[in-house]
Amino acid sequence: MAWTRNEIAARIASDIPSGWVVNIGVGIPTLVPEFIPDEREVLFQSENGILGMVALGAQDYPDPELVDAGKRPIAVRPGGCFFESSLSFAMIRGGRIDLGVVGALQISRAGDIANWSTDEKMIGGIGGAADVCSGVRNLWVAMLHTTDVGGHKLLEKCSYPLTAEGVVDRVYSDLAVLERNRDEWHVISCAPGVTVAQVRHVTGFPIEVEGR
Amino acid sequence: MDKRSTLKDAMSHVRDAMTIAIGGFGGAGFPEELVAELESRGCKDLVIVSNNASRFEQLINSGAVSRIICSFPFGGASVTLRKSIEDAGVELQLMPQGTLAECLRAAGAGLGGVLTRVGLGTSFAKDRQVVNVDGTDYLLEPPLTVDLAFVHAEQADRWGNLSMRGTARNFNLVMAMAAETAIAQVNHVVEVGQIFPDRCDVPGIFVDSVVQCSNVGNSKED
Repeated sequence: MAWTRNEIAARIASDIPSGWVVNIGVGIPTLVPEFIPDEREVLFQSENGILGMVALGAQDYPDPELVDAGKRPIAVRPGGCFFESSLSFAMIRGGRIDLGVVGALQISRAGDIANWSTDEKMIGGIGGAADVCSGVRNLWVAMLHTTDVGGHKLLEKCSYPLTAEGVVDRVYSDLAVLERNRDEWHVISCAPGVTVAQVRHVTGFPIEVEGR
Repeated sequence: MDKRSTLKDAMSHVRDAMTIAIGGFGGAGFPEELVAELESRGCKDLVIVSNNASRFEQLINSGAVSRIICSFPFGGASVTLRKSIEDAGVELQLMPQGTLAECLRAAGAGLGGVLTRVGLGTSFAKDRQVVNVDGTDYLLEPPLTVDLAFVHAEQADRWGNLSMRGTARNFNLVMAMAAETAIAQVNHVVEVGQIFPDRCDVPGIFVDSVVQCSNVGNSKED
């Protein structure tokens, strides 16, 4: 049975080590922080200038001057800090962010990612997506494995405009966790009851025989 | 030295066809009273530089804007913005957010451009020169100088020193740096010396006019 969005987020969270600095994108990635246990020190960075972002608690008063990249009210944990945009992107491009977790429309065999625009329509804009995808040390993609109508999203080549080239390290889909090494992809694990053969069937590039 | 100004006097810097950088990320750090005054001035051919576009729909609909340079135009609540931009014939120029910030910073820092790997191999590399430094390719992004910057701060003194809160910092520093003239809308004007040197986010030398907000504490949700 396929993983739910929450289960995808929980699986990603379980793979994030203590001490990592993580930038999360919109969609399934926004669910990841709630699955990080309190005792694990993971710092969430938001491109609009915050390190140590946490969800607004039940007792917290929403502050219009304290929002995440999706403009939702948030809070900051002890040890967190605020900064302006050029410093925020210096962190992102400068390799200080251990992990980016983003959504995607398409992923190619070579690790290219398209996640901001289809041929016909841009979703919101490029925003910080190109900087994050190009700049972080590890890029994990959280996505449903296929389109609403069952089409491939993991493809030999992306047809939508690229966000960045050759940057995707892992894909966490509703069916499997896949890892890329150059042009080779391996299945790390499958959702319960899902076989590698089934994953292959809905993936537009080859998957290596031996798992890990 | 007293940079305090009325809204009308500060906005007398505005001319048709100017390039105006406007700070804010959604509503956080957004100088809404300066923008409201700009809307009332009946300008033409403005180039707006801002992270988002959703707060400029009225300006667009009034025919004041010819071009918008931004990273994430359609993030707000508006469902009619795309049509407004199309109907008004506004040119939409997208830049990756970090490149936008750094090109503004470069303009204010006396630099001739930015070398970045962001955008290589994508449509953002179109019309950009590729420069190789020690075996690594970079896109050359030119500095983004602007005529005016509208910024927002929590506090200012009459010298123009600004102090900000939370995520309201965002583009406000680099936009003030990049501008020929920077106008700050602030919640509170305090005495010189009351902004601690440790808490000055924008040194006053980057700011030309300080306008006290009339509507402190208004909701600014996007």
